[in-house]
Amino acid sequence: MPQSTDGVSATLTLMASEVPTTGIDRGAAAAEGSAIDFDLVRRAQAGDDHAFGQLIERNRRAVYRAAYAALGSAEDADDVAQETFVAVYQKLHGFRGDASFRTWLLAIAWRKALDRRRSLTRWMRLTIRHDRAEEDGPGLIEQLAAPQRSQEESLAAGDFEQKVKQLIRALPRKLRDAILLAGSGEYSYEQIGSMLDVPVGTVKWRVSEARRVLKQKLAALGYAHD
Amino acid sequence: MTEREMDTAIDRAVRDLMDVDTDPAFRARVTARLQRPVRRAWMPRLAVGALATAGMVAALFWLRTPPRETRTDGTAATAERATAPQTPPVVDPIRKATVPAPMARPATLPLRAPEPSIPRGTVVAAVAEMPFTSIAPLTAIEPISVDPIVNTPIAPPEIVVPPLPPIAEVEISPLEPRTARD
Repeated sequence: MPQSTDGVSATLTLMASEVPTTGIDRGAAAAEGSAIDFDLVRRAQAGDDHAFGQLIERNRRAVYRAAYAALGSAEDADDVAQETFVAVYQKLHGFRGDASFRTWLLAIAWRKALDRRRSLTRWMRLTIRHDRAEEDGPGLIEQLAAPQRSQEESLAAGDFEQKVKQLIRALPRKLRDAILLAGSGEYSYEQIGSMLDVPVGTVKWRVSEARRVLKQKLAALGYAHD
Repeated sequence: MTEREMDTAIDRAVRDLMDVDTDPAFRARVTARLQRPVRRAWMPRLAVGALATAGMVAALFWLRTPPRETRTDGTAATAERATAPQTPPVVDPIRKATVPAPMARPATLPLRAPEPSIPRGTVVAAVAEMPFTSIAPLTAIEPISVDPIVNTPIAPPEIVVPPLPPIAEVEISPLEPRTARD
């Protein structure tokens, strides 16, 4: 069991925050990070507030990004991330270690983010607007497309990336959540499945379906090769 | 644009969208939030609810009318009460010293005499008197007189058909040949 001094912890935090390039590296880093988290949880359960602070440092980005993927707002995501850690602190004695701490933490964060998403009227208005635009189809495409300009001009102006982002935001919620969480490189498919409360196969299908829909819309905008 | 380029663009856009992080003061904010006294927003509501409920219960208890006897036969109850022996309550001499005296009943509640118990196995029957009715006795019905049916023949009036007027002479003009086809 590695010692959880500040220096070691900081190093491992860096390791965990980096996106590994291979599956072996990713698995090894995740296992090591999980062991460190477990040790910190045991210490925090024994009343060590400094250990809990380290848990916050190690996991704050993952929690924040999950909340951001659900809410799309930096302020709301920050608030939900804080609420998550407060709730985790209060529930920490109930954590038995059946799942990894990060999986447990992310599931709590996702539930809180979804609660916030449901209660946010501003988000609802935004979603309705997106849904309407999506239902209308040609309206959004007309809004996004610039038929007067060539593709090269659009790419040069940086419009293309903005259009892809707009199309991602306009995806149905389930597909958008899946592709954002998977594409962030922060979570494994198992963790995403635990957050979304669906099997891993469903997560993969949603990611693939989101890509298919995006490519279809890009093709409708005239970005297809043939 | 090839499909691979589209995939790359989508990956880049997703990474760009999710390239967010909290500021370094996040941990301090969480710590401050943990040290903040827990705001129990439900406590005032709970207190108000409890007070309201207690008030309603008290009002119902206060406004409640004294219980009435369920017996509808008032005269029988009165007679039974009058004839029942007014025996003093039997007090166990052993318990007398320890058991406090029962509280006096309020004046509004009538004292009920103990009803005689029916021994087990006794065959009992209830007799119900026929209620008084003011319906007159039936009388004989007078016979109904019906007129006899008479078979009368139907004589319709004679039908007269007037003669048709003579037909005027029909003239047929000769057809003219068409000059051109339609």
